[in-house]
Amino acid sequence: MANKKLQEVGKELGVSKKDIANIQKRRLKGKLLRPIMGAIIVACSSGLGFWVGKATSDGGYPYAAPGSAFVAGPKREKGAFTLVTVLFSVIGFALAYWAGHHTGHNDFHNGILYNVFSRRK
Amino acid sequence: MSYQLKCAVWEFTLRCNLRCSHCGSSAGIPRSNELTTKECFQLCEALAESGCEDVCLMGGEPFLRDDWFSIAQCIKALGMNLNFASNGTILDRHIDKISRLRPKVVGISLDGIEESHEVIRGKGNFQKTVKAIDLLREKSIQTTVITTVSKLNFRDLPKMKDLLFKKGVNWQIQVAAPFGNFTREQMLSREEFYATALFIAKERASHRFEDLPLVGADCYGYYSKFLPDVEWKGCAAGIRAIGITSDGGVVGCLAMGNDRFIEGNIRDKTLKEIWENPNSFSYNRKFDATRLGPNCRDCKYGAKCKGGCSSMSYTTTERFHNDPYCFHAIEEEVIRV
Repeated sequence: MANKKLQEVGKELGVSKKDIANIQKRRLKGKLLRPIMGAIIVACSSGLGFWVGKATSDGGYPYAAPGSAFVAGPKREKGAFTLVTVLFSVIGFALAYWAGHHTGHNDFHNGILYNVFSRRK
Repeated sequence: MSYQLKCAVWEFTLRCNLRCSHCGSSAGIPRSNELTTKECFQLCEALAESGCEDVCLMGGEPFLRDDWFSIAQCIKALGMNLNFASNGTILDRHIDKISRLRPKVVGISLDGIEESHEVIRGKGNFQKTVKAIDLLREKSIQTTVITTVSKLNFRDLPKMKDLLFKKGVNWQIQVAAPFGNFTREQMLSREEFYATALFIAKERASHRFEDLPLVGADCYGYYSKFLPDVEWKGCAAGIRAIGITSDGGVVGCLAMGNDRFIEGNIRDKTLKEIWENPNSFSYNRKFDATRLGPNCRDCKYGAKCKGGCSSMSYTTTERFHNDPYCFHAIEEEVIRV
């Protein structure tokens, strides 16, 4: 931040270099955390889809408890296995996309407040 | 393309008991031909029929209209959210009625600590406004303090934070633009504007949102390289929002500061006719990148952001899609980020 006038005015408003570092940290955190969390949600969802798909298509997941529903479940075609995995991935992606949109912080506009009041007063 | 009206900001009357130096409406004396009570009821019905979700009654001072309560009741009865924007000075006389209406939000203008608030809004008004905020909180009504910043008061922001911290009220900061009573000389410079944005970002980073629910209005943005997550997809005027003047004029936004943007009057045409007219709100509805002004023409976000806030753009440069008070532009031109 090189502009002297901005630094002076910022100082008057109590914005220090440390605060600026915090703002940057907050932005970086937002930028990094959201895709990471998104990727985790998609991976977990795909994994779950894979597990369910496998368990219901080839007669049982290797680690399923004996007699569990998955072991006893009806056998499915290979296509159904793929479909379940893809379906879970899509759901995971949609969930991650939704979460990304609703968990990010926006310091300047707020869905509840920002468009209710005119700026005229 | 069809547009869905979501929010109407209604200049309920231009009558006001204050004469604020930054008032964009130059409020005080009511317009000579303000809507009658019957016309107000008809307008409420038209808004509800159009699917409008939020109605904000502002002024002037909305509580100076004798029929405010019955019209507010009508808004509620028609299933729309009711909001008020008031100066707070006579709110104590109406608090029980307001409480009965359960508005979604009541906005109260507070423009600084005592000295600067009273320089802008007149002697003896600070305590009345603070009392109004306290009364609204006592009644558990969601309250938003609206602070309009200019050279006269922006230095008060840290002290205002102390006043509003953990008070249980929202806080919206907006920039005074040169129209109505407000002169260009008192407007924040771009550096001062950016410094107030840093203040907002700093406070947001330092406190839990519940302790200090602080936001910038639509005039704050856009596409900063430095400030967190400032996304903007264009001005809502005529896209999902309208303003209505107290004599029935329909505008995209009441903060354009110019009567030439009145698209029609509900005394001559229905609200539906005005809203659905393909030529209405053309500055926004017919936007394409070729309409960007010189400030935004070469910006890579221009087509997405549509040149920022229409009010800021028009009142400072006399053209739309050309907002000079833009984080991205300020960071590119004035400071190095």
